[in-house]
Amino acid sequence: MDLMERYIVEVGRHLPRKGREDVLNELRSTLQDMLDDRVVEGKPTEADVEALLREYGSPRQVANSYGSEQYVIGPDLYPFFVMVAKFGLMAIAIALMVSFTVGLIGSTIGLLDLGLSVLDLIAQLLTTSLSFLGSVLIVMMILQRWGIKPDIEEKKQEWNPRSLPAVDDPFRVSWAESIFTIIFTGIWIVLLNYFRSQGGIVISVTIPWEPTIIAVPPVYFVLLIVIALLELVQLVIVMRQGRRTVATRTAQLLFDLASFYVSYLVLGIIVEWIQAQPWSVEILDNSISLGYRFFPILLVFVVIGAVVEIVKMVIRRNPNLTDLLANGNNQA
Amino acid sequence: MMTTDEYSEQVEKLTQELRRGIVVLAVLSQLDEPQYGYSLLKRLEEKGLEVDQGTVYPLLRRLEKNGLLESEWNTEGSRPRRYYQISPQGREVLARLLDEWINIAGAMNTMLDIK
Repeated sequence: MDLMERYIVEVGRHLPRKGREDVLNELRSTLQDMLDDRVVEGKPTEADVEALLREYGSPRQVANSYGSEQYVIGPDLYPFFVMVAKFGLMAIAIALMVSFTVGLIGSTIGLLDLGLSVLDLIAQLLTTSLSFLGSVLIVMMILQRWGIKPDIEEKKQEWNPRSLPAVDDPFRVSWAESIFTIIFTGIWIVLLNYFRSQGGIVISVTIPWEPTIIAVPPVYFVLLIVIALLELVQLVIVMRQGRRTVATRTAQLLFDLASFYVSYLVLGIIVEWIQAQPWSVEILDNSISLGYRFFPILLVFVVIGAVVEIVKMVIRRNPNLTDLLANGNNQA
Repeated sequence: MMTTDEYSEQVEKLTQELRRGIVVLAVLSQLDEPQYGYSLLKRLEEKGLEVDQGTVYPLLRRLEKNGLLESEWNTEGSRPRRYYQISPQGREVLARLLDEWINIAGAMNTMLDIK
């Protein structure tokens, strides 16, 4: 029975040490029973054994059938893992971006250093995210091994169908949109800070790049930076809510008004600077002055746009309001 | 449209799933008296249920680990064999499964219009 023993030993090689001997003993007695059934007359030949083993299955197959389903992260644990990973990564991204932005506000750096800093930030984001995910994975694997399952069942509250957002919520803001706006605002802050550190707006009126500075008192930039930071907070709130609300929209309007006013003042300085330039001609001067005078009209559009949106939001929230107004008109 | 391979693979999977729960019930129901793996296999086959040995042996061990079966090595007879028998807890579980089976079978027969 050399062939059979070789087979049994080979199966054993693919089995964990625990319980191996017992499984193999059972396998041996089973195979011998099966052989007895097949060979009715005389002793079993090598060919009989071979045929039996061939039919029974490859050693690896047989060993695998004894394995219980192994998961790195099982179906019970998986949603928990996803939740932790998502929140963790989000927190890391926000924390790194905030610290990056804050770190730049106090410093004075050139445009090249700025580029390198951004690359550095990206590298940091990647490595920190990877380490975080790795740690979470290891913890989850351990939990899986020990058979610990999160009690998510308990947290299932009665959900309120009425709290579902409308089918086509025009004020819905996607995650991607939020992240994009936040990053954009972050870049805007960094640019403002750069100008602040340089004492004004850095532009070049000639090609090749020959930087000139339009002197602007730093206080304007600081104001704009503060407004932008507040806007960042509002953007994060909007991102968490997934939609714009009356509160956030109104806040946005206030920020727009404030930055509009400050920008208007800065624009005034720019216009004066242009008019004082040796290459400035009268036509340019006049048209710029005209434009400057009409600039506040833009403000009107901004306000009207915001008010319309807010009114729309309020009406959506209170559909009875429109009925009330309609009925009120009828009765009048 | 699925290829013939994908189709037969799916059929295979669905058939397997259908049988998986049934095999547990079948095995528990036949271990009132002690049996060893091979004799159980033959008994199931006699009664019309063909089960692969790759399914039965691991299943017997799993059921034993979960306390539904008891086992011991028996050295009488032509060679040592591992015998399994249903445990008291196993009998309770079997009774529940039987109830469930009767309900389901009745419902399915109605649904599929099987007389």
